[in-house]
Amino acid sequence: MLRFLVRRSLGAVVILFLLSIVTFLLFFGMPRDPALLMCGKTCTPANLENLHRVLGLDKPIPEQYWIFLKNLVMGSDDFAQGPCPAPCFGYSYHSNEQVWGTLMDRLPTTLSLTLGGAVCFLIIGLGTGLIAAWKRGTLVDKTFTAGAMVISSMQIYFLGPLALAILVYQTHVFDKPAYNEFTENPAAWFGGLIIPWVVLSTIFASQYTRMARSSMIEQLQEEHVRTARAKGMSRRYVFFRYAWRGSLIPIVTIFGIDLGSLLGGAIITEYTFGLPGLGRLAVESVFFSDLPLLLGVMLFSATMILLCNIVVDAAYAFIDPRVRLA
Amino acid sequence: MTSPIDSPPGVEGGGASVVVDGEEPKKAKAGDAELVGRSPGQLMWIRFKRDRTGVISAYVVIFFFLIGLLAPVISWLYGKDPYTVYADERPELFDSAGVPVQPNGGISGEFWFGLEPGNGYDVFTKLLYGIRTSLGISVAVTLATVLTGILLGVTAGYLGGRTDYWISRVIDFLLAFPAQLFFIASMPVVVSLFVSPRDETPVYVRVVALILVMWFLGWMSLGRILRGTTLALREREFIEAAKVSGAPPWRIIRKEILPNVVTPILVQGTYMLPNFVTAEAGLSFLGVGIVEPTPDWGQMFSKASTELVMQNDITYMFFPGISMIIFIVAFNLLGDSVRDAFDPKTAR
Amino acid sequence: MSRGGRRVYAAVSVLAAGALVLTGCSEGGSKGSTNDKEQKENAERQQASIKFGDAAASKGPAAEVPGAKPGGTISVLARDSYAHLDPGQIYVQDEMAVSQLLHRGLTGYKATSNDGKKHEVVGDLATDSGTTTDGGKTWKYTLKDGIKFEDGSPITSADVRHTFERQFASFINQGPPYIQQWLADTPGADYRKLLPDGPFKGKHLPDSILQTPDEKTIVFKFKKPHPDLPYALAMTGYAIVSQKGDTKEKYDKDPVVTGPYKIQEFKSGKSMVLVRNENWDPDTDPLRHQYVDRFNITFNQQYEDSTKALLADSGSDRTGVSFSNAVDAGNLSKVLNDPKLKSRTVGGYQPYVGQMNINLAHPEMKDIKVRKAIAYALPVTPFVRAYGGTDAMEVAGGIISPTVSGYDPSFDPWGKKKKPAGDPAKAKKLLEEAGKTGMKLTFGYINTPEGQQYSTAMAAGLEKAGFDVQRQEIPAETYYDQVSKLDNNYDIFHTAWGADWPSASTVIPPLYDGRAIAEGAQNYSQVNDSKVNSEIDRINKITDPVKAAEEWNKLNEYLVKDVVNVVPTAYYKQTQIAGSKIGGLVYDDIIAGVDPRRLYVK
Repeated sequence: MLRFLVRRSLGAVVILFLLSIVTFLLFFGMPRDPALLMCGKTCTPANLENLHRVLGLDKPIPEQYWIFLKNLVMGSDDFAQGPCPAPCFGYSYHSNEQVWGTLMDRLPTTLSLTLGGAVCFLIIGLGTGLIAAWKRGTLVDKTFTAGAMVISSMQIYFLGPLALAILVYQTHVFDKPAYNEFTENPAAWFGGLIIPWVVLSTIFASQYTRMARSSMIEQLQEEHVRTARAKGMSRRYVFFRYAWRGSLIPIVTIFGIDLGSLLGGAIITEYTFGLPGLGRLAVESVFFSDLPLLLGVMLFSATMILLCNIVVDAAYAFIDPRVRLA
Repeated sequence: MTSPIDSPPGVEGGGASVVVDGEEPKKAKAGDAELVGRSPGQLMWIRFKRDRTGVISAYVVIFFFLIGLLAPVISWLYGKDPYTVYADERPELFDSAGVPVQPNGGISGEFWFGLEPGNGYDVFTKLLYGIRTSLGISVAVTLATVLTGILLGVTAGYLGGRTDYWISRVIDFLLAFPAQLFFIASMPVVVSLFVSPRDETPVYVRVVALILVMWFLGWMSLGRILRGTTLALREREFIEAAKVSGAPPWRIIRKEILPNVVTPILVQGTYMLPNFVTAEAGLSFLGVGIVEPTPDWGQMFSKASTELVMQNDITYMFFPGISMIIFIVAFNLLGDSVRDAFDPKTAR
Repeated sequence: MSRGGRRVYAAVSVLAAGALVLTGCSEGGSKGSTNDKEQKENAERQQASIKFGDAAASKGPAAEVPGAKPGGTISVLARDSYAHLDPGQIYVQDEMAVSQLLHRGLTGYKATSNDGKKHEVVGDLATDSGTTTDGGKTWKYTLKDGIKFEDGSPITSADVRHTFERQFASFINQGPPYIQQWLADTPGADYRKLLPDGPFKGKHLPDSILQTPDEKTIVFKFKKPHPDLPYALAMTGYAIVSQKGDTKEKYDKDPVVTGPYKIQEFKSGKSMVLVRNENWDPDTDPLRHQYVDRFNITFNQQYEDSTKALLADSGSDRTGVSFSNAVDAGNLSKVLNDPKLKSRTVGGYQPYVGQMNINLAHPEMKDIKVRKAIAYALPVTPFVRAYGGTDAMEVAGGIISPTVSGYDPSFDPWGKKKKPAGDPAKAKKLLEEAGKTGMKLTFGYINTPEGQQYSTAMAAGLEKAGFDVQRQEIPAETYYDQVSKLDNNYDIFHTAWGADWPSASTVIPPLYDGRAIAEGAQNYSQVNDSKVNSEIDRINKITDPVKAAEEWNKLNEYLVKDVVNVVPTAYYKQTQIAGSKIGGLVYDDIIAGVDPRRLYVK
């Protein structure tokens, strides 16, 4: 187990390292000069040059990259805006705030959105999927599967504005989605996120319905399940003790991937509902050519994805004793 | 649809007659024994024709592609185009903010699907051309990813060793990319890579850039599957036989391996295409893909999510919304049918 | 799975689609709120000119607001946290609006009517709006008695000297540059060479430039006449900073204020509390009141949020207002069509005028017939539509805004008010006469949703007249940098300009003086017309502001009608709303928003 974790973590670090290089190169291909954005109304060439120097953009790219790596690991006191402890991504060009602080500021929004949504869609999706499998072939099954098929073909950029238009703009049943701190006002936190949760979990749940159903049916045809049934165990017992456990493996895989990419920033969801999470931050960092922020978001998102993948693989061992971690 | 597999002449049906799916060769072999003399392609076609849902879905999908292809003809017959600014041509139909005055988004005998809030484009022709743009881009991406997937996947699987190791690592690396974020970050870069011509609004540059970025992060899953399939095929007797008989590797790949990976390619292809359609629409929705006035499915969604539409003209959002749902559902059903036809024993 | 199941899929898809279609019915757009009365009122405002007031007009206290009573707390909803509170760094509207309560300058605008439409420049800390004896080269100001900072220390001429000298220090980089440029007599940012470190290293401006002979007197000495100094001094950027209390960069978060309110608490990005400043003496202040006990300001309120809260009108929002947030576009027509809600709104112009620049540096654009064809063909409606319709934008005739002294509403040389969608027939004829039918016209547009929308429709309108329009997108964040490059690709591009004070002297010279053409400067159309240049010099010397306004307007007409380097598009408007318990709600044209000084709790 330990060896597995160490090996995978090392692999993840290598990937992150490569990703940071790609992001760095990508940034220097961008057609906009961040210094020009900061320079403001009375911008002279001298000011611009000075800004380039302050931002360190006048140095060769490999040297800039080295400085970035050094700061990330060791932290730095060289920034004009103040000290920057590790993990130091530097200060945002646009807002002059510490990137790590900004990430941590935006994280609760994404966390609330993702985890709340995940709880909803797991319960709904697995529930309906199991019911459909249990009642296989009946009208209930057919309705569930057909409904899931249609809903899973919808996109957040359609269902989201539709929900907003009907629930917020036309009938005024709900407020426009917003993020409020849970610790300050739990009711407002809940009310502000309810529409995003519902929309997110509707779309995701439909995929889990289909997955849970087909995975369950596959399991019920496995030898050991059929043997158990033949030995006279009740259908219910076999269903929930034997098949259920086996059917979880593919679901856990997909859930890990979904959760990772959502935690790294549910870009379209946050954009649709105007929620200030990591996804929105990512879009902003691109629009403002904000290198430190872009690097921060990119690496943070990738870390989330990789972390979830490792956790998923480790979780296999617990669910399915046949799986050995190499 | 025509038979996707042409029996390779001379090689006694090649491997194609025996192996359909590298992962489950036994089942396929069993199915074959009863129907001697037909190629798997013909078998698949017969099975597919029996599946009514699949056939209907195929018709729907073909209908969408036809709409895309014939958009100029239909618009010509209908007498309008998606670029005319009706808010300025026919100001009496709009209020000063560009919302159609008539209820239901200005649907009338003249404007079948109504008028777009804002500049007042004709929604019907805009949707036709939007489908054309989106499908065109998605088909191009699908073709590019399939080619790349074949090239790298089969190479990795067949050659093995170091090549396999490195290609697999590249796949791992690219799979760890935050894809959407990467799309957004790289679109402006890729667009600026092309020297933007001074006189032209470079629509094609955006199209090419979209194709490039989606291709870049789109081929890995297919590549990985093909690698696995090829890896399994490599160990089989008929490949061994070909090797012993002195066939060069290129010939083995072309004549022996490629016909055997057609199944996963087709199945994966039918799953990938709708994904690219929604991904492309997502990018245009975020404002980094196709922009006004070029009609595009995703760009219509981006219009539909403006306050102007949500507040005043909810009808508008249903035209891109429902047409996309129908297309995606039909394509997914078609994908299921194609898989069934190739591999009838899979439990679903 | 059985095949029947998938047939159900299809059936359910059709059903679901049908259900969706049913919810998809919607009403049509608003039938057009008829604002005839308002239009007429606007027409009546013509040429409301601004005078420079004398000592009598500059005496405090300010005239009582009818019905006002003291006490109470007002909650203020604001979108952006105040990035700057140091007067020298303030140049944006929301910070200027709150500064009306905090900072005082040598001069200020006194509203001479209760509707916020008529104004006069008077002395604020100074006894009058300034005296000059040599046509605007030398200006003398005398400070009033009894004026103090919030810490109780008196405001002296040393503080005034400090205020202007620190403008040259490098950390003051966001505020207006006018007076520094006038003192140094240089354009652009070269003025900093006059006093590179500001007053902080013991160097000062010599008496030949800025003289403070005694505790009460300040004399500005310019090389050239600047009759606009009283206007410029009224900007928040030139409000007085305490010499003793100057903490340089830190002053930006915690300034020593002079106005009727002081900052009790400021949590950047969250909230701010203003309370009465006991050291402010109403008898010295002809502009401000101190009715309310407290202002509680909350930040991060988007337009939709503030509109919704104030519409709901419950709890603390009943005494709520926003200084700078407008009613959001989505709610605008609803608010204006409901008489009960409308009574809680105020609206007016923002200082901006939209204009389509025609790039005269391009040889093809040198043909006046082509430019006239553009002027006739250009549809203005797309621009109005993109920003929310006639409630938010008004079709413009000239380049002088209704908020600027000298505005003439009847001026409309290209018939835009009658035919806002353009006149392609006339344009086509002109283009044929010029023999340029089918000519290429490169249109640079700002890459925002609005920019994409209006530029495509404008291009369609121009194409009807026979132009071959090539749209090129420009990223929004660097838009103004791109179009202010001398060697840019664009034949036409849209810009908006707001006057810094209500005189066309902050519009016409920076935008249209041919000698001001420079990389990154604001003469976007690169017009260099000898008559315009000489008229600018002549009018700049006129010391009577009313006379100057008339002359500026004539020059405006000459530019728009005969030079045709720009086509005016629209005057920006906005509507603001307040809670039902708010009294004294007035839209002030100079502040370009609610006047915070007059507010009281009913």
